[in-house]
Amino acid sequence: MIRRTRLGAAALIAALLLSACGGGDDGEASGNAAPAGDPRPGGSLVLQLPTEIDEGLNPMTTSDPSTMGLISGVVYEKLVEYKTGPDVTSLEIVPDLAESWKISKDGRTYTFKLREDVRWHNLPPVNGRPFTSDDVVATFEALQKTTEVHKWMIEPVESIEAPDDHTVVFKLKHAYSPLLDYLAYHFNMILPREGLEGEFDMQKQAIGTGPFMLDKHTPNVEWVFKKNPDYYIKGRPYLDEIRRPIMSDIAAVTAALRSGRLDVGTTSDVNVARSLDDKGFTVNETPGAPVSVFINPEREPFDDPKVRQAFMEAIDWDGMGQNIRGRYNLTSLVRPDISTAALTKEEVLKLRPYSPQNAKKLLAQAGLPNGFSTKLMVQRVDDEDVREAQWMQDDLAKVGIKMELEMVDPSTGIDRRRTHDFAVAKALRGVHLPDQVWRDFEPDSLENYTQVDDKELYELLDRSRTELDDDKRNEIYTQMQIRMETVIRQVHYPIQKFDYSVYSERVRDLYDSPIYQGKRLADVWLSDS
Amino acid sequence: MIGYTLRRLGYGVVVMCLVTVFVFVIMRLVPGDAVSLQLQDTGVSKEAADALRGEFGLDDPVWVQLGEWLAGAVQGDLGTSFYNKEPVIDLFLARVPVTVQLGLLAMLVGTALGLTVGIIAAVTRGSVTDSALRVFAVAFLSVPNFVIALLLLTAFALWFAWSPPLVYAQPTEDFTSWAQQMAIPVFALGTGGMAAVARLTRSSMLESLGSDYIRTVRAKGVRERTVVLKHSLRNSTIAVLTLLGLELATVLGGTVIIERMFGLPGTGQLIYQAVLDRDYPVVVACTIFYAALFVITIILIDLLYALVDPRIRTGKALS
Repeated sequence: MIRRTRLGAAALIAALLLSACGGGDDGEASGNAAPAGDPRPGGSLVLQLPTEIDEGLNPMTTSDPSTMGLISGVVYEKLVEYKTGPDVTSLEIVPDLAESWKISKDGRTYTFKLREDVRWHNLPPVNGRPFTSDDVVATFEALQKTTEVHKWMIEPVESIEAPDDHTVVFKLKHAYSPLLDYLAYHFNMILPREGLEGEFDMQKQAIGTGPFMLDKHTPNVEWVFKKNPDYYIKGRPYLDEIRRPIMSDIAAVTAALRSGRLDVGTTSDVNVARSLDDKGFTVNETPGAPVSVFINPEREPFDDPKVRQAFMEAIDWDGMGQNIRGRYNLTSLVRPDISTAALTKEEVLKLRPYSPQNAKKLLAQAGLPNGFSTKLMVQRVDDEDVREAQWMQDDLAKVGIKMELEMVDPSTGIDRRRTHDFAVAKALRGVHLPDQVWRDFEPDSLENYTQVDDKELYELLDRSRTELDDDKRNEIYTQMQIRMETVIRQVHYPIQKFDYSVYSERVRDLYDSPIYQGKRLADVWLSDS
Repeated sequence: MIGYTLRRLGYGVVVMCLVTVFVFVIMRLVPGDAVSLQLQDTGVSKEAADALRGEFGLDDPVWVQLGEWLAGAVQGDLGTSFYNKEPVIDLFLARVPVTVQLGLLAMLVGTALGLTVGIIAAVTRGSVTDSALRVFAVAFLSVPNFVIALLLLTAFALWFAWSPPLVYAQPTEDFTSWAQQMAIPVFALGTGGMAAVARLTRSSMLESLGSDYIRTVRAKGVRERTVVLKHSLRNSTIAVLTLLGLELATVLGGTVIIERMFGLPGTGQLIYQAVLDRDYPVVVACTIFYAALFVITIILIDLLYALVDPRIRTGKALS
């Protein structure tokens, strides 16, 4: 049975970083189609890990989402978390290490009340001591001082104080509405002071408060986690062990699923997912990364907004999604699985219709009645990326735009986008939260590939960051999307792809994560353990 | 013979130096670097990215980087990975045994099967068996090894619900698991060599079986088995040895894809990821390893000629 979830992973790796939710007594509510029964403790879950963790485990220095997916919510936990489960339809912040929090009326003071029953893993040098507010202060002070990688997420935070062992107060320079979203984001794990002060090598070792402890790592082969016997939720986790074999080849993953050696695998190929569906597996469709199109206004004839508009309207994005991705969302800049501020399909089609006739007219108005030639730089991750580029090429040819395709690997793609060395570029952009989306287009951002420079957009962005009312903030995000689609026209995320997680029958209460963090696996259990 | 060996070794060193410089420079000419990849989606400033670039020494001119690398290399320091910051030599040495096991086994299996098929085809020339074996050989020669691996993997999973173990185990730790993991990769990698060896063995043996000295041997009443295996096969082996040297390149190239496909932690997988990651020190070290392996094998095969053909050993072949 193919399950359609609203929330999900952002990239191929994302779909793997699965999470659990409470309950599970009821078969309908379980992560799988088969009757569930009562959760059973024990057993070893085998989850594919698509790539090895190259940059080490230290959350302060790495930005690799694979690292976060491996340890966040598994070994380390955060102050707050995104809710995960069968009925989750939008991002909802729920407690993690903080059991409650209060935000002052002016939005400048956040007070978190921490759980009092949490201990660090019983491993030297931390040795199972209680978790306290001092660790939270140490973590965020280290983030502010020692790393360039993630501190922007908490940039407006002026001070972090610990009035007692179980209270933490964040004081901000000004109101900053995305703060809670960022605190729940997978990079912001709470680390033990001992690690931050160099008493153990956080690059190779992870000692957290989570339901599982890092047991063994065989480079390029496997990561193994074992149950944390002192976990603060009694009776959890159910599993004795989680094994993460590194498997990047989809044929090997499919074979391993069929042979029963692997419990959970993932693919972006809808045909592979369908070949396994109803054959003893449940296939979960999870929204993934946006397919992103960047049009460089510094390259003629794209300096004319009419040409950029013609380019986008000449392509049947809806048809492309249907035919190539199988499951997809037609989108503007904000992801519909993450935010209710995302424009609906109908709204997108109004702003950016598929209209070859209008495209031709626009080209004629721009002095290009016979079209023109250009080049598309395609960052290839999977076969679908290439097929989409061919679809675009075909549609554009119908209005007289001859487009040559240039395939590049991710490293080349990133570098050339950052140096603005392209006419049109296509990639998958790994952004999730609305504030992250807009951050790309700030003047000093390395990811401002098309050099968006729009005063009105920046004013809206500033307003969105200080607006504490969700509805009003969403309205601002809507205005920003409309501006991007109708005035700026340099960056488009025309469709959002889906990935497919394939679960074996015995896996229960395992749900895809809203954002590709490694959500807690404490509630997952195996029917045959 | 000693002079000949030394000369070959000297050529080998020159080849390796050229390969090193070529790879060192070409990797840096390809767009993108480790810093771009590591800092993607992080929102860091250009200044922070440039600082990291400086830390890796990537802001120096290429020739300065090459000079520094060579200065370290002659002292046995091949640098550290841009990613996990471990010495390249350690990363690399940990992975060599897997690739050596895979490569050697593939060569062994390919050669053994190839010789067997070639001999059978030669002695049954013109028969149905001969035709069938030749078709078989051409098929294996035409299909890339990763396709064979893919087909085998899928066939075993679909028909027998079997797949290799997911986690590589050293043969000394768990031989059964190791053998199960290596079976398909070794066979898939060995098939190309097998087909080539079979075809060459067949044609060389047919040539020698029709020659005067074989007729003389037969006239002396020697058993057919001895005629084929001792007199004909031995004379056909030189050509096969030359082929094996060339086959090594195919096998080593194949390990890159096959190791990745089967999750084998060898140098093939290491170099594949390092190229994608622009982890220059790792790429250069792996390339030197592959070049060295290739050069050494060619030299060994040259020396084997001498063992197989006494005329080369005594220098009479040249007279």
